[in-house]
Amino acid sequence: MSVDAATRSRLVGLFVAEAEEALRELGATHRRLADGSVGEDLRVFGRTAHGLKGAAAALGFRPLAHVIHRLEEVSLGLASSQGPAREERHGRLALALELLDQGVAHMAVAGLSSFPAGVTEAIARALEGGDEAGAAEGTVAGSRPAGTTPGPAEAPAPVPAPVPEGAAERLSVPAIDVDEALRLAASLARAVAQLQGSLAGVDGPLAGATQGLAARAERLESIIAGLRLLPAEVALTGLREEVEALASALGKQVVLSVEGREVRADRRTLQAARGTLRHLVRNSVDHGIETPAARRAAGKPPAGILSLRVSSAEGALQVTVADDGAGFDVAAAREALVRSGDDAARILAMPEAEVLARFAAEGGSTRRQVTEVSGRGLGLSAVAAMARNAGGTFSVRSEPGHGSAVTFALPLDVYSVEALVVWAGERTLGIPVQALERTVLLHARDQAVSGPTGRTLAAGESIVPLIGLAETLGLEADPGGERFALVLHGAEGAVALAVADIGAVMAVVPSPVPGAAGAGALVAGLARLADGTTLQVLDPRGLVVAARAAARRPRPHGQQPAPVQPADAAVMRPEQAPGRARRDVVLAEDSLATREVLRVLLEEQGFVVRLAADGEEALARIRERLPDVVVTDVNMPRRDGLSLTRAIRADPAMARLPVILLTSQDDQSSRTAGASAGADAYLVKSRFGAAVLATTLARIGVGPASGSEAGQPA
Amino acid sequence: MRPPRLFVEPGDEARLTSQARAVARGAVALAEERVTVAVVTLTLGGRACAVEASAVERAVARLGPTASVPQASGVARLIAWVDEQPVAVTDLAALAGLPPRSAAALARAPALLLATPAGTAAVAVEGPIELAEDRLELVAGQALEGLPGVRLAGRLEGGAALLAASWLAACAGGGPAP
Repeated sequence: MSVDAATRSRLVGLFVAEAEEALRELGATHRRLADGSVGEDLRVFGRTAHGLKGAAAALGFRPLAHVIHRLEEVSLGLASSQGPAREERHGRLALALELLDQGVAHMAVAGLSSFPAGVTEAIARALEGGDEAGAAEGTVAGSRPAGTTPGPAEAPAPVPAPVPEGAAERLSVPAIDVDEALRLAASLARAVAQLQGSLAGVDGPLAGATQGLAARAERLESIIAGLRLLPAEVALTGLREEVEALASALGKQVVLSVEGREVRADRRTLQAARGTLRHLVRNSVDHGIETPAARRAAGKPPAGILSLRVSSAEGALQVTVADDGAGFDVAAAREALVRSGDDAARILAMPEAEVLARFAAEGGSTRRQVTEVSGRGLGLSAVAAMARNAGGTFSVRSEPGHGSAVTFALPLDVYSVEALVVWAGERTLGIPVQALERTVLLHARDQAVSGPTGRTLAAGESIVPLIGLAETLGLEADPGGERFALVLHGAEGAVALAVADIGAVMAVVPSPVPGAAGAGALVAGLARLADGTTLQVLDPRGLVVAARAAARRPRPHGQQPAPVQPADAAVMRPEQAPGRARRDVVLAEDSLATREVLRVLLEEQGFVVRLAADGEEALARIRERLPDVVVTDVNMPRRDGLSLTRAIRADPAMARLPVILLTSQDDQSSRTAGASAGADAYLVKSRFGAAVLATTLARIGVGPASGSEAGQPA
Repeated sequence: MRPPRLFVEPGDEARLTSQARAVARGAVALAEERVTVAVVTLTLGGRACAVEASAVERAVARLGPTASVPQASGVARLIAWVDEQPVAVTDLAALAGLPPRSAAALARAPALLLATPAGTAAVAVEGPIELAEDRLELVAGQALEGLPGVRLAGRLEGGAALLAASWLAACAGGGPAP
């Protein structure tokens, strides 16, 4: 097929959507066939598979078309087979459908342009077997050589489907079009912000029109982002039937309870979650929940409880699969780790949860480990890998004899990324906050230590290797030295990355760049900030691997890492200066990630920080005890920053309290609104950093240079 | 029996070689007509060059500011924003063995956006760039004077060297040259 790249990408997107639909139909039909149905269900199965084969062939996925053709042949044999031969045939079909499902999900999640070759081969192997030759299985309706598309005369007769209520109000569009629309909307919002910046100081109708345009662009972006969200139900389709079928096959009784079907998440997140949670559910039914006899002997009711809970919190889709079965064999996992590792004493002292987590991370690395815990290790390691690969986290709890619970969390929205803006090697870089454990202000004489194995950083109770981000990326060292360290966790362990400066947390929509940035590369994607600066959003996993490798690299004699910049007067902690008392700040910010970064920045400058998630909560904190300064976001639920500022100014008890507005709106009208409300300073998030904060605090009389008890508005 | 006539069309060197061999075997006869092709003209180290227009997704008169993106391999790649979309940039001069241009020079340079196996990528060229039509003179394996690394698909009647679009796309996409 000779089409341009954009068209092909669009066609592949359509194929994925069609394949997902076809596989849902094939799965449901196959379950009915497994229950003994033949007749119409067999014809539906063949027709659906045939359509999918044609779609695959049309896109040039010839090996895939070939295995789907084989799938049709194997299904046709169901009509004439009985007993164990029929069961064996069902087994092959079930495995092939599952692999097809995984392959399509992988295409969707990873944005692949073709069906994964390894999965095609696995499907071909899964369909092998039986004592029949393919040609002897009967004639596949409309069968043709792989790689050709069905002609109009051969196309299956369309089956009129009932029109669901409300269908006229819905549109089905390829996800790739929604992605493109969102990218354009984000781009439009950025362009409008630039326009507003250019028109700063201009009043009248033009300024009003631009402000209206900005509001509409923001609303448009929000609506399109919402279009990508689907209910979790999408990931749970057919699960109950699968559990029933598996339990029945294993002679077990299982009661499935599901919570959170209505939780909404990004389509790609749900696709990633779908495979992971099905894996966990199967594992629980197969290995966790005991047979009725074993449960009675253990004093439990004969039916096991399998609960699945879906929720969303802090930008992540969280899924917990719990059962009241036998639990994991922690002792066997611990023994396996002791045998395979070189830190036996530490492993023996580890809490059970940590043993399981480490086993999950390392499980499957040796065949012996997997066998010794009855196969559950393999399931855990696969789930841990799936969650990690999708940018998520994983945890496990187990109580022997009473059950286990496995929780994984995936980013709720894989399209936009909340990234901490940092500067290193004279580049503007973004670190996804999800991977960020903490930020540390580097002081020449305390946390960072140079030793025989390189620099290390004492971060909390851990000592982690410290390496410059610039050095990790092969960039020139920061001429001004490194003032902050970012502690990141990866599968290989933690690492601290030293950077020249840090800024605000921003939600950005990174674009991959073929050949330069994307999945598997050091830079996951690029975005543009409001001032046109290119933000390179780094891939945390690749970054941790590269940083740890760089930390282990021997340095040429005499070459030293970039010096840690001693804390200067502007950023020195107030308590370090003799006679200074720690100052109190109320910080109002509705974004958890931004709030945390600001908290660190303020605490590093010696403030006691009291947090508020919105203006209303901030007002309550202020009334509890008058702080030295209020730092507040503008756009917040319940009460925004401007309203908070006006409320402060209207109350004689706190009217003189310094207020700093911190916002992403960088236009004159917003500044004017801030000033009208009575704010003392107006800081823009894209240019925000420790030095800016320190300078501003000093300017309004609250900084460390001020000796007064409370600052006075400037 | 008279063999079928071959109308030579522009393509890469391998295709031209294959066609030439078919002519040599007598499997096909070379048509007398010479093909007119739509091309985007440019210069390379002062030499007149062209690329088939059908291989070019878009041409931009000025590439705009570039940024370098670090790679796991340790070699950074340049990117630029075209239509609010970041694209990887390859400097044709450097590719041809000429001195690579500075970031400032690249920002002022025209560029061709090509479909590569990995997606769209940009090749920064030397101007002026123009859309033109010219007749193709059959050549295969001919090198560009002084720049042996450059792969040609042919030469145009007006004298311009027709760069092999598949070679250019592979280089722009970061993959091995065909």
